[in-house]
Amino acid sequence: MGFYLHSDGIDVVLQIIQGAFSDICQLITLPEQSIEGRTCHALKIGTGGGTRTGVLFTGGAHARELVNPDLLVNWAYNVCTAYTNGTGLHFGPKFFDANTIRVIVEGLDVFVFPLINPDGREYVLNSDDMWRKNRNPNPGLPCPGVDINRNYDFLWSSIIGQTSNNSCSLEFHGTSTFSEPETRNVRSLLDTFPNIECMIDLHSFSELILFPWGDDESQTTDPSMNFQNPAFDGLRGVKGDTVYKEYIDAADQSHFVKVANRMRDAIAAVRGHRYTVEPAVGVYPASGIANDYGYSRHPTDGSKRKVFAYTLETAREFQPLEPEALQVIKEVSAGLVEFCNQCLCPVDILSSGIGRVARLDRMRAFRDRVMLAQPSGRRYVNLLETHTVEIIRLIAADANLRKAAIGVLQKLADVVVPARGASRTIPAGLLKATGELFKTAGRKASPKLKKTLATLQNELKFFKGQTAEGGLKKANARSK
Amino acid sequence: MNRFFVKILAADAVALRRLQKFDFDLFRPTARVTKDKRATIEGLLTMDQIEKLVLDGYQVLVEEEVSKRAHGRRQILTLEEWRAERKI
Repeated sequence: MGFYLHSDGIDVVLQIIQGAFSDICQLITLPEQSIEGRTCHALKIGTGGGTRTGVLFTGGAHARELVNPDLLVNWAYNVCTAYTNGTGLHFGPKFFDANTIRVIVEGLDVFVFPLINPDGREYVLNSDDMWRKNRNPNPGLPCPGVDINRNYDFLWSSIIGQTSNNSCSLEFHGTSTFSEPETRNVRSLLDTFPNIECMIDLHSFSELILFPWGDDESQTTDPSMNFQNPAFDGLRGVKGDTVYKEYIDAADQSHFVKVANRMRDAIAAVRGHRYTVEPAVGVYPASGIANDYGYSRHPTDGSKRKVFAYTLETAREFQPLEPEALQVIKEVSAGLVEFCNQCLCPVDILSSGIGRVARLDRMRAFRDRVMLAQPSGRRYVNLLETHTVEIIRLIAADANLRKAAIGVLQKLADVVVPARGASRTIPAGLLKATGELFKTAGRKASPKLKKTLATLQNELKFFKGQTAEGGLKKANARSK
Repeated sequence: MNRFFVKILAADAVALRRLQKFDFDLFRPTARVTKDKRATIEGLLTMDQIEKLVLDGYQVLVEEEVSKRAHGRRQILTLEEWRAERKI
């Protein structure tokens, strides 16, 4: 028996999955057909609407990297099956229990766009085994094909490193940003579903987990040295120099690494292959790549959500034979489930209790702009993120705890995002309710979470009679 | 023209990055700097291209002819097979 599905097979499988699990899946028709007229679909997995965090998985941008589209449709099928049957998912020795799968399906919107470049895949399966680009005939140019992963709107015109404006090159970046229907379809998903905050673009090969930036080395100290600043045009993309390094927020960088390490550990737990976590620049810089575009959307336009966008380089070859391909699918699938875990947000899960979407967005903005800007806030966010999965499980399993958490969150929203003219001072009642919530949750928590909750409970004293900002400042002394 | 999977060894990362001028089929994610500061990258090259690199001072280790790792076309899974495997 074979292993790799044709392009139309990948597309039909998405429709089969949607039909079989119609209560949790929605088929999304992408706005653009491929150059050869193929209609592209993505699958949205999730139990409802609302303000939940979105996760986007894309694959098949580079035609010859065959395993990833098959991997993604199998992942989608397995997650839907496990959710529907109320079972967990085994990937070799790595196991995710039924609760974990339930929380992912009920707490996230997972978008799976397994095959960005269907024309290229067909060309590989019928004509040229090692074709990389799409099948744009490039009228007026000497050679066909555009490298999809050089066509995104991130320093596109800079032609950095392994990127080319020669149509005969394997890294031809196209005739303009988003000149290709394939990249426009990815952009459309990000625009249409602004709740997407987590993204992985799957490629092969090398067993790497890559995060921004890919155009140059990163630095966290000079925000003015960034991809939008024209003063640095022409200076980017020289690895090892001191002239230019791309700015990344230190908290974001730390988040990228933390999540990537968790994914790496989940992958390694399957059969011991330890993927390397590093910035996408690696040894060779490049421009116009998907993960840089995804992450740059927020700094380019503050009204857009921040997208923590990764590139995953799966496997050790482009087209592994079946026994190896199955192992790759198992280990990477474990990594993708863990990635979803890391994208869960307890506030999202409780969001039905706190009112309008705009308010939730303003609370997110408070987290990003106020809390993450100072040591105590970063510590609180980090402490909670460390225990996200357990917190969500506790909330999901106990209706009283959930009700209490919603109550606290509601009151907290009133303070952090107050109505016009309302006081921003934290009322004593909120501190008391929060303390009681921590105490109740602590009784049912693991020793580690119990310790965290006890720490947080003890530090509520910093917020007595204060605004949230004032309390964080007082708590900074403790953080030092 | 036949192509071969190769591993290219350069004196250092700078020499490796100089390979960009050739515009060959090099697999960017495989680029690595070794402990002894040498640098390597994998790629898919014709014999003519390999010769050019060798003349330019690079070491090229020829691993396999392209068809040895081109498994896609020989491993097609039909939709019926996919459904049958999952009883769906």
